[in-house]
Parts: sequence; C-alpha cells; structure tokens
Amino acid sequence: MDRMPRESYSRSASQDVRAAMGSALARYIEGLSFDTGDGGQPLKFAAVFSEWPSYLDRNVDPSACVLPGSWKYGPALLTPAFIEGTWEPVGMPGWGLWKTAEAEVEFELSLRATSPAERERLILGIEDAFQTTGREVNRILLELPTYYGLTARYSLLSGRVIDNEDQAMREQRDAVLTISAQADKVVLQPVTPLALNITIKSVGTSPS
Amino acid sequence: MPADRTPVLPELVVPEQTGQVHPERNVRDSLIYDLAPDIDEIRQIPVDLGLRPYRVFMVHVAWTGKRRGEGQPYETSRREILPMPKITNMDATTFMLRGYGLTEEGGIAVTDISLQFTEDDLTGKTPDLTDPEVARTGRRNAEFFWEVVEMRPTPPQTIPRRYVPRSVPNRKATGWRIGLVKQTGDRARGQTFNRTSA
Repeated sequence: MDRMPRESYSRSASQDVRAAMGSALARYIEGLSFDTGDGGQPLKFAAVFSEWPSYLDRNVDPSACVLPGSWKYGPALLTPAFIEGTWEPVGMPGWGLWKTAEAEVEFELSLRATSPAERERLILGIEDAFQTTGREVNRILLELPTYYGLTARYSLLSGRVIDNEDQAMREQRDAVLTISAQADKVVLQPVTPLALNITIKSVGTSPS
Repeated sequence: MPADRTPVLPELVVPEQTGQVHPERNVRDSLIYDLAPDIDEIRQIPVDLGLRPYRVFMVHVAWTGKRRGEGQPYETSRREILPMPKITNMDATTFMLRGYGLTEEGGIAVTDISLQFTEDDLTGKTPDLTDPEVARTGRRNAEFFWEVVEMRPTPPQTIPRRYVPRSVPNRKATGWRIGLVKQTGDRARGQTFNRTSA
C-alpha cells in the first residue's frame, strides 16, 4: 500500500517552536479587553508585538511586546514518542508527529501605559487572563497554529514595575511580566501501521 | 595708614544709600512692559509671513476618576500661546525604536513667548492651583501639558505632540524661553477630549 504524500499531511509549521509560542502569546494578549472600572469602553492594547518592532511600527499606548527570551530543550528521549492524534491517515501508511524534546521558553511581556492607574488595570487583567476558567490554576493552554497546531502551556512567573525619575516625567509607565511557556518540539516522520498476523499451529496431533 | 579696604567715601561701598540704585519699583510701568504690546505686534509679522509653523497650546485635562488615568479624560482649559512662539530645534525630538514601537523622545525649546504670560502660566499653575471645585493641577486627577501642532496646508491633520516643561522658564529681555520634554500619550489625529466647562 502506497504511503500518503507528505504534502497531503494537514499539519504544517511555518515557525520554530519558540517563535510559534511567542506569536500565540502575542495574539492572546492583543485580544484581551481590560475593564476600566467605570463602566466605560473596555481598554485594549493598541498593539502587541511578537518580536522587536520595526521603524514603521509607530508607538501608540498602551502597547506591549513579547520579547524573545532564552529557551531550552528538555533531555533527549530514550525512545521515540509518538503524539497521539497526529497520525494521518489513521491506520494507514502515512505521517505523524514524533516528540523529540520539550521546549521551555521564558518570555518577557514588556508593556507601556501612560499612567500608573492604566498600568495597574493592565496588569490586573493579565493576571486574570492567565487563570484557567473554572480551574484555579495559574496556567492556560494556547494553540500554536504556526507549529503543527499543537498546544502550549503558559504560566505567569514574575513581574516588575519600571519607574524612575526620568520615565515618570515622560509618563512612560512600564512593566515587565515574565511568562513561562512549554510545548513539544516535534518532527514529522512516516508512520507505518503494525501488521499483526496470528498463526495457529497445532502440536501433537496427527492427521487422520 | 588706613587698611586697604577702608573706603574713603562710604556711599561708594553702599550705593543704595544714595538712592540712585534700587530694585524695579513697579514692573508694570517699566519700559519693556510698556513696549510689550508693540513687541507682540512685531512678533506677529513672521507669523503672518508663515515663518512660524507650530501652534503651541497649554492644556489642562482632568479625569473623571480620583487620579490620573482613572475614568475618562476631559479638557478643562486650553490656552494658545499667541503670538505664535518660535521653535528652533524640533529635530531635538528624536525617534527611538523601543519594544513598544517607534517612540518620540527628547525635547525642544520654545522661545519668543509673549511677556503677557507669567511663569505660573507656563508651568501650569494657573488658572487655578488649589480651588477644590475646579479640576486643576492641584488635584491628583488633573494633568497639565503642552501641545505642539504643526500647521500644514494639506490633510491629514498633524498629530499633536505632547510635552511638559523640563526647566524653569527663563525671562529674556523681550520674552520667555522654556525647555520642554516629550511625553507619551499624544492624541490621535483629530481626536479631542470631551469639552466641558471648568
């Protein structure tokens, strides 16, 4: 039976696992709405960059950036680890994703507001946004559409407010939140179904 | 023999005793303030010639909440500096590429400001610093800043740039000079604060 062409496999990756986690995090933060506390129009980030912006990206506050932090790969696996649910076509010679390591990244979400009050609302909203609804855990799951559609885990690690005499004068109210993220680093490899043959042999009987 | 510093004529050491030197007794009657309206008329000439491309405003904004950034902002006063003053170093406001995008930082100097303004005007302490019934700079929900708007003959409108004083205003012979530092929070093109009576 011929193997399905690799091009027919429905999952693909256009970014490495770290960049994919950064992009998904930036999209998630950009989609958040923050309560202003006075019943007014909810506050939103004007922009959330997933990498260092370029010259044409004019700053409009409040804005944020998911700065690329360091990342590491977990220990090598002793045995191949196939990821269930990624075999296509199921039960036939095809393709699937094999986990080779777990990638762990520490992102720095750097944000800028124009007043301390605005910054407090943003941080409060982000803290709430990292609690899984209905489950009191400091973690959320986000899909990585640019990395095989896998899922990454995110949790808040730490934060700090950046104030000094110069930035306060300029109303540059900055804060940095550190966010830990983990996802499987995978490779797309052929999957071949095991052909199980059962042969029954009778022993000790003679043909009549 | 007298010591070296022993004066022969005491009035040379204490000249104010003669009555010929003294502080200005009435500033409003001084020559320069007499001439102030004429100086402003002269300042209007380069404005009429189109040589002053920046309009400069002093703005007070109050927030509906208890402190700046809480609730909604509304403008309580806006006073334009007329005749239009001179900004010679607009390029001292520089672009900086930060993680949040391209920001504007630095500062400018505004000169040739009419003598009709006072230091309190220029630093946002007037029209009222303390009146609890009026949201002004004395309250935590009020803010003061300058806006510099480039005049241009074609649309779109320019983005008003927001500054605050970074130095004590310096009164030169015929006008004020003040240094401003760039703040974040520029209004978007055409955006206005809700206008209310202060």
